Amino acid sequence: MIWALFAALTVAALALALRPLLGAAGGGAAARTDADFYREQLAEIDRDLGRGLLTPEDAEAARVEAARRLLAVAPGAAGPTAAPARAARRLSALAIAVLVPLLAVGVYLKLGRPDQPDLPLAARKSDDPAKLDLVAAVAKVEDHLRRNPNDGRGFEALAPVYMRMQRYRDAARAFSEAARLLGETPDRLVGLAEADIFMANGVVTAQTRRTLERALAADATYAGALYYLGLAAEQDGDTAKAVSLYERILGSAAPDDPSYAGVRRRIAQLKGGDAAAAIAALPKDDQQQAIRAMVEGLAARLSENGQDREGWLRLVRAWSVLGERDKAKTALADARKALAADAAAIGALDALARELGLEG
Amino acid sequence: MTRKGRRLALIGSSLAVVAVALGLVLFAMRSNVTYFFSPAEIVEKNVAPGTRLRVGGLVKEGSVKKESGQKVVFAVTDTTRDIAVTYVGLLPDLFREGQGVVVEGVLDSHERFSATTVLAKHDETYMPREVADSLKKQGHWQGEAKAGAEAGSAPKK
Amino acid sequence: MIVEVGHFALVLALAMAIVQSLVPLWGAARDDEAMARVGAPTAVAQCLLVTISFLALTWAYMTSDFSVENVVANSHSAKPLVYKISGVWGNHEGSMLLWVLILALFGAAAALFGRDMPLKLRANVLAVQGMVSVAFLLFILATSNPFARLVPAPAEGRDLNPLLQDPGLAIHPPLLYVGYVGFSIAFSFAAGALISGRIDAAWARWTRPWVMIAWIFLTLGIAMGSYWAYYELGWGGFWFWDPVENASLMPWLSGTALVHSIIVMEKRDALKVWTLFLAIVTFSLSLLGTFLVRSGVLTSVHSFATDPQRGVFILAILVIFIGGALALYAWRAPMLKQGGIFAPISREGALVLNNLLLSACTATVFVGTLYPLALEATTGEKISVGAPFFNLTFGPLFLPLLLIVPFGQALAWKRGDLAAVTQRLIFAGVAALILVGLLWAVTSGESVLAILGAGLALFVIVGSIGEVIGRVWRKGVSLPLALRRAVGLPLSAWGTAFAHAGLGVSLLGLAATGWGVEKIVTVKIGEIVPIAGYEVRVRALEPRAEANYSETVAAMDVLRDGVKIADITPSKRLYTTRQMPTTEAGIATIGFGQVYVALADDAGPDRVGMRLYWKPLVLLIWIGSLVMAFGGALSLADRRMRVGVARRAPARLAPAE
Repeated sequence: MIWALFAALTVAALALALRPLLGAAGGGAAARTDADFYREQLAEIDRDLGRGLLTPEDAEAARVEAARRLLAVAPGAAGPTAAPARAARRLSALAIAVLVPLLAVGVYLKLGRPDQPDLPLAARKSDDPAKLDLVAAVAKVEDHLRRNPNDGRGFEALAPVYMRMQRYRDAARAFSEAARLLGETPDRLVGLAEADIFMANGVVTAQTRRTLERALAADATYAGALYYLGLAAEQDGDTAKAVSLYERILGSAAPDDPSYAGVRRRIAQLKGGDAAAAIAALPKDDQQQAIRAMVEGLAARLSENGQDREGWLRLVRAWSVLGERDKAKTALADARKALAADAAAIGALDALARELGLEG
Repeated sequence: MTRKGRRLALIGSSLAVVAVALGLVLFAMRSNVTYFFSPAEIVEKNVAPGTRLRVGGLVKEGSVKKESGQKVVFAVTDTTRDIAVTYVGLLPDLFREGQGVVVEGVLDSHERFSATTVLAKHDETYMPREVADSLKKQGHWQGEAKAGAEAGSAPKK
Repeated sequence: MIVEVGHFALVLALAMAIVQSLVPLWGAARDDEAMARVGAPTAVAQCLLVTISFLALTWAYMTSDFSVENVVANSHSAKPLVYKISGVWGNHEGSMLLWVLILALFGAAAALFGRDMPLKLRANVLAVQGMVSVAFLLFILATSNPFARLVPAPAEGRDLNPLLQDPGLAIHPPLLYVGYVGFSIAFSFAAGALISGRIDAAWARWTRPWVMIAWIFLTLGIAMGSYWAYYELGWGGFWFWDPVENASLMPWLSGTALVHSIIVMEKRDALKVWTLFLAIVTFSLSLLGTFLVRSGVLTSVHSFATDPQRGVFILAILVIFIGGALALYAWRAPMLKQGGIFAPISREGALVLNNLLLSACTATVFVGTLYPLALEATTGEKISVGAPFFNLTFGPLFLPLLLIVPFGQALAWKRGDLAAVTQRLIFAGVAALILVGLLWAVTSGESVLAILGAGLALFVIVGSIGEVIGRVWRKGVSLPLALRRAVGLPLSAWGTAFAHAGLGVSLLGLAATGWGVEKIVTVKIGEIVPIAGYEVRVRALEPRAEANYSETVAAMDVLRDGVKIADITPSKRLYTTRQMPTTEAGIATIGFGQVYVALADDAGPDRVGMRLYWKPLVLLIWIGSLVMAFGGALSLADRRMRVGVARRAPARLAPAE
């Protein structure tokens, strides 16, 4: 259906563009020369004079001017001739007819989403009455809270809704009201901090940091607080502290919990990203050394905390790439020991060992 | 008047107008442009008190004091140094603590500034260009809401 | 589906524009009539397609289709319908689409109304117009596609910047764009003439209506924008020499020069090469304005977008078109024949002086706007060039221009008699001097500049109108005869008189700012503040909540001699979605002057801080601009101006079958 419309548009446009090339070319509409043009202008001046649209003086002046120009263009001013080279005309018509649809469809396919229907709000509302009046519902609760400003539960319920509506200032107020009325909990404090951070375009301000530290004091393993404090450390340029905070999040989590993938990636970036860039800048020999030092560091860290599956996998691969097959095998064995309880990790290690040819 | 004379008159008057325009621009450039500095640069470049200039930075948290008769005192900081700004008048709508600001006025000393104009950022994503630049230089500005989007992926407990 | 049709139409428009820019050019070069004639129908097709595209986006806004990223970022379901629609061009992508739509409309209009032009010229003009379209359509599709989809669609949009949620915004950009883009036709005509290698007074006659239309709209657009800033930003100022404002002022100045030089060319066949140059420069300045605003090199109220990729793209467009046109100019212009000689003291001479001064004004604004950017790019030093700079450079160049306006209007073509003209203008001069004397006496010599400005303004107004009156009425002429003559006078003469008088009226409003009064006070409810013979009383402070904002309204009365003459309600608003506060000024219009009140932050439960202004004759600034535009419209309506562009018996135009 939509492609039929596209085709109709294209055909209509082509019809317009090709008409002069295919239509009455050569015959029909005679080629108008400049001389014709001035002749017509002279006639028009007379007509206008007759109808009283021009004063006689103006008409005379215009007539003189047009006549002068007519004289100037008259000799040999043939204008475009209609006769020659039908071939070129045919060629350009063909080129237009082929290239225009090709170009249009090609570009459109790259940019467009022909499968994507319109989604006017009205249609969606009738689909989902629950969503319908989020705005109205919020207004109702707001009204209620204006009359009962001590209803902490109300603020508590409203705060995350504000967050979702991207009304961060309101969300921050609601979180802090809830904390004031119902007591500070890590949830409320982190919520408040989060709202503040969003309001500040992602910057963790000093005040927000204090809020987060209070949350962490109440619950030393609270992931959200750790995360944002890590973000704060990153913004201060203290990568090491950021990494250690992020790692504390992982320390309290199941290692394959997919909701922590983002944190893991961030850690990898912080460790790898900057280091990799720094290493690339070094001369060749130093590069090897630096890489070695890094791998050694990783090994040392893993011998202290052996629960990092990604770390083990990276270590094994790194030794193998550096040509240290023995060290790779040792690391593989250590990893199997450390991760014995984790069947998925063992599977991954086996696969890696096969891939690198470390078995047997 | 001869054809040559006419031409000379035309060229002469063109040159005269161009010369006047050039003179005016050069003269005005000398005395009527305002330099922009951050509080740290004022000290660094040792700007003389009494100079008219623009100072940009963040409004320091907790520094805004409203005094009598719409007089306001606040500190502008680039996080290295602060400068105390005095201003009489209406503050712009978006003037807030911790937000970017540019003040224009006269430098009293390296620590004090009398503002005649206060410009705040105009909407949530706007920051006066000078402020964004000088904060970027110091690594305090994340550029748009990138960091905010990142924060959105934070794990909830 | 409608959205995607709009998207496809935009892509197809690009394809049409490419055909439009190549085939007619080729046809004209090899004298092939059929190929030369491809320009017009493709221009029309391109225009229809862009229109479809624009309507599709508007539809997405009206129905709050949040699967379109652009709608999400700039709209909200709770917004009034009018602002949903104006939101279409209240953002970068949509405003560029509007830009291209207007470009295409002008192209199609030139194709339809230009049927009487020599075919070759018309083919070249439309081809150049097509090239501009290609550049901007590519820009939109590559960097600023308003049809990008967002899946899954969010439940709610992120609103329109509340500062921009205003009737002013609904009208301001379209007017300004018609002005900016209108000059593209002059550019295309100039480039077309250069390619054809022939130019004469007929060229001027075909080009002039387009230049006039663009100038009228640009005048209105600038005036509108300045009034919008005046009442919406709450600072009481109307012109800040902000780079964005300068970006629109520059094409206006050189466009004004163009409007005048093109008359010389039409009437006297002189200044041809210069006029071509001005046509190129004027559109180049429009492009420069678009670059400054759209690239984000300046960040200010008007710059809704910042994205270096876009900046570089527009810069490339700028360089290609300006560079290309100037190269073409340097190559072909020396081959054009010069014609029409005139004495220095003549209408032509005055218009040349007008052009010189206007060009110099343009240059100072150009330097003041771009120098800080260049300095920062090269040395990293940051400076701001503000009102003091422009007052000192622009003022001394513009004021003499005003002084020669009545002279130029009264001088004869070819060879004028300065003494006779001066004699005729004595009346205006005396009127101006009397006004200066009176004002001096009344204000006891305060603000000399304002007094002199007012005198100059009166001289321009009386001189301009008086000249026309002098042509129809002399002592001893009966009233009916005078009236008959007035009717018989060409409309363009009236147009000139009105445009010039409008300039004087604006100047009068500007001069009167010298007598303005400003007060900053904090008052209790019920307290009365006197200001310039009026009094303002705060009646009450009321909180109020609307669908998308909450506000504190101060209800105030404006009193004269203790009698209430107006009600004003300045307020402080907080737009909820963006958490963005704004100040809504309270304005009471008294005659041509205004009492203007802007609220400060809350001073307490029963106190309110505010800034009060008395702005005498301030409305004249904008009324003058309207009069100027009206003058332009009269001139445009003049039959003689259209001879040559005029319609014949409606010829066949290729309709879509």
